[in-house]
Amino acid sequence: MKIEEKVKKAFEQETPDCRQRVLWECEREIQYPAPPEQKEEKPAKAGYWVVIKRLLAACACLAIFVCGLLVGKILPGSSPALPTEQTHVYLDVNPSVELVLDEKDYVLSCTAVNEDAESILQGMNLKGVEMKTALNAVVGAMYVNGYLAADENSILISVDCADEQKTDVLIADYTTQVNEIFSNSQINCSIIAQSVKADEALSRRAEENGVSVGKMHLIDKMVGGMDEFTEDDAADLSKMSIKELHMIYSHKPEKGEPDEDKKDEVISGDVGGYVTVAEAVRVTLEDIGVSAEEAETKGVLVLPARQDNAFIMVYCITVQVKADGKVYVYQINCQNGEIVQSEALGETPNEPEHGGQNGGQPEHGQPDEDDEPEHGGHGGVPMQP
Amino acid sequence: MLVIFTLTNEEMQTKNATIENLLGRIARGETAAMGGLYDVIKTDVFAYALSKTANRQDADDIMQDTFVQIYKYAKQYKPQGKPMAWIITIELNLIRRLFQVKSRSVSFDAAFENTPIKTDYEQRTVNNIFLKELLNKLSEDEREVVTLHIVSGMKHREIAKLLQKPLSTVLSKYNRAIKKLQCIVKESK
Repeated sequence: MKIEEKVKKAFEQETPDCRQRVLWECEREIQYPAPPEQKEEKPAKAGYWVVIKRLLAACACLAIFVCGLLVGKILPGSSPALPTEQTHVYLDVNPSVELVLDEKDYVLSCTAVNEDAESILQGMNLKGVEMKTALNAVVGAMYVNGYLAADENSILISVDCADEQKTDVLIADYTTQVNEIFSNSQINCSIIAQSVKADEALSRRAEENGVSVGKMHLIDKMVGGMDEFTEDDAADLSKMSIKELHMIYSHKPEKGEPDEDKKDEVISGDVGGYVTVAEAVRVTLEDIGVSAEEAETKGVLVLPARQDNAFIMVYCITVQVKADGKVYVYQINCQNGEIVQSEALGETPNEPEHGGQNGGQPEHGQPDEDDEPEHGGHGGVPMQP
Repeated sequence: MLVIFTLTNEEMQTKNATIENLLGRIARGETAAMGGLYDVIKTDVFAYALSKTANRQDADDIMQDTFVQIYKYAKQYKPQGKPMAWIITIELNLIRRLFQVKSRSVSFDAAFENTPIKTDYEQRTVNNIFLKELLNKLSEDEREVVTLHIVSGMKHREIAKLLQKPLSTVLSKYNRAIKKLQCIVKESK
């Protein structure tokens, strides 16, 4: 190896990897700019005229100040314009943070909604900072403090903007920005970005359940939009992490035709730390004893299932074998791909073979009245013991 | 005969254009460009800091501070096709400030204590020894010229202007440094 190559390679190998630290320090620099260096002042010239000039300058400043006050009092509507609150942005990972922005997207306040957020915001003053910088700082701090990682990569961004037309733009911008923050790292964020209107009822429910307004709104959408949940499930859903809620919500069945113009919600990225849908389907087919070509997957849901006084996330997979038309419903543990429960139904999903539960098939609605579900409640996935 | 391995003119122009583009984006407030800039010049910045300070901890601190200063003052950079000179100037000012507040009696051996272990231990150890040897046996001026020319790809004329030294001084220091490095390589075989 040539000497120059050896030198260059040696330095390259020794160079530390402090990329994330540098980026974070840059963000902190904007919040805590270093005081300007004190320049050496030339000694003032002593003298009569120097004193007179200073007095005159002071009088001029005082006069301008007084005039300014008088103008402010006399002219109607001449009170200095205070920045107005226009947008509330809620960031939920596990730490929950609320940012209030003015009409120019500068931060008016940044509040920790829970204890974890208090620790990451400690010493961070984001007031007066542009939202883009603040978002970098907060998300960066969550990453540096270990709240965001390859298998814990879910972020919920909720935007409540007085200007409704701006909401869609902000949702798209923040999603892009968070993806860019991690563009060169090992993490692919899974993001739900949504619009929210924080009225009194929502705020009260959020407080009662100990979650942010954004998380409560997502739970409300799940309860209202998924047949598998009722209002009674809201409290249990509040205890789940953003990662778990993201997993459920991103696999919810679409009702009707998807609205392509709908921009008030963006769901992107795969939730890390879980077995993929493809793998769960493969385990199912293998257990049934058929190949992918011999069966048709009728539906895949993700739902919480109670196991030993805790919740686990399960894929609810409905498969129909083409040859004999038999339908199988499987619950596969999202964490490890193990079969939690399996059931063979009749030739069509409405004819259970064993008189058990209907098993999570959203296109067929509620179970028949004559069915006696083993666990009660929703099709196939118990929320109550 | 010395065979010089540095960036070709074309590679250097591309690198400079990339750096200027990133500085422009940072000046316009695109924070994401800072990551890109870090990836392009991290070794240049670190190598220069280490060559001047001969202290790993100081070099790490200077490296981070340099990037923060770049981020802060990117708007003041005027594109002239020589961004590395601007960056090295920032770094040099930080190093001078550091020297003002501390003594420089740290031995170079201390710079490599507690170095994190990487994958290929044998090769890394050899590289470390080589780097330690070459930087211990070269004077600070020689180290400076070697890192600016070999790692950052700056031309001798640019180095002379940056360090405000005669071109002949820079060339002679570089040649002397390369001869010392050749001796080190021979001794290690």
